[in-house]
Amino acid sequence: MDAVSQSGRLVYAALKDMTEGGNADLAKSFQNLASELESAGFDVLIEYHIGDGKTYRTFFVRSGNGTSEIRTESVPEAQLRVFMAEETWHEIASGAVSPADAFCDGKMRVIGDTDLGVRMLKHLAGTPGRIGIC
Amino acid sequence: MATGTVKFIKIHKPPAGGQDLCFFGLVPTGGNQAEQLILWSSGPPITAAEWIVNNAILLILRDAFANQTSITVTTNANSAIVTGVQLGQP
Repeated sequence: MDAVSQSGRLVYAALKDMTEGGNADLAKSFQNLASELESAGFDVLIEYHIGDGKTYRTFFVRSGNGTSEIRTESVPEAQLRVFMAEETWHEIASGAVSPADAFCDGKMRVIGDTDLGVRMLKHLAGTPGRIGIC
Repeated sequence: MATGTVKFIKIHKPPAGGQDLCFFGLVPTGGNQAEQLILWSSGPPITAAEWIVNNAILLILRDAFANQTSITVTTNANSAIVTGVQLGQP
């Protein structure tokens, strides 16, 4: 049976630390994410839009064929697009908050292949807990 | 604010403990990827009036899904939690 927190919510898995203990800047944390995806053999195209709802910085993360990269541009063929505030990304990338909790708490928007997000999180999880929302 | 068609509606009620939630997919007009939007998720207990509103929105979503008519959904910035749904023009 899944673990449940004191608030009655399921305990969701959080990411491994992508921030190098809080020392990595935004671009470096996405580069670390891309490297983790490459190591796990993922073939993915994901866009992260980090901003306040009006203006965003875009980080396109690609992993495949044994290579990975990030670009600061939007790519039409992205499989998954994620929108959130910079503070939320830092919480997720440091492993302090699970992506599922951020989504359910209204701190993130997700467009596209969420099954891909679940498969990624299985490999990137740094804490025990449920992976998918349901 | 986003306008599009409803791709799916999912209501999750675990048998014991766990998270009670309702979410749906909205494919934006002119797009082909669905955005995941939350109608409700478990948190502090809500009032009967709020449950009635949730069910009213659910009826709009069901009608839009069945007829593949466009709806307009409003959320706060960077949030998937729906604050309003519109079927048709005012």
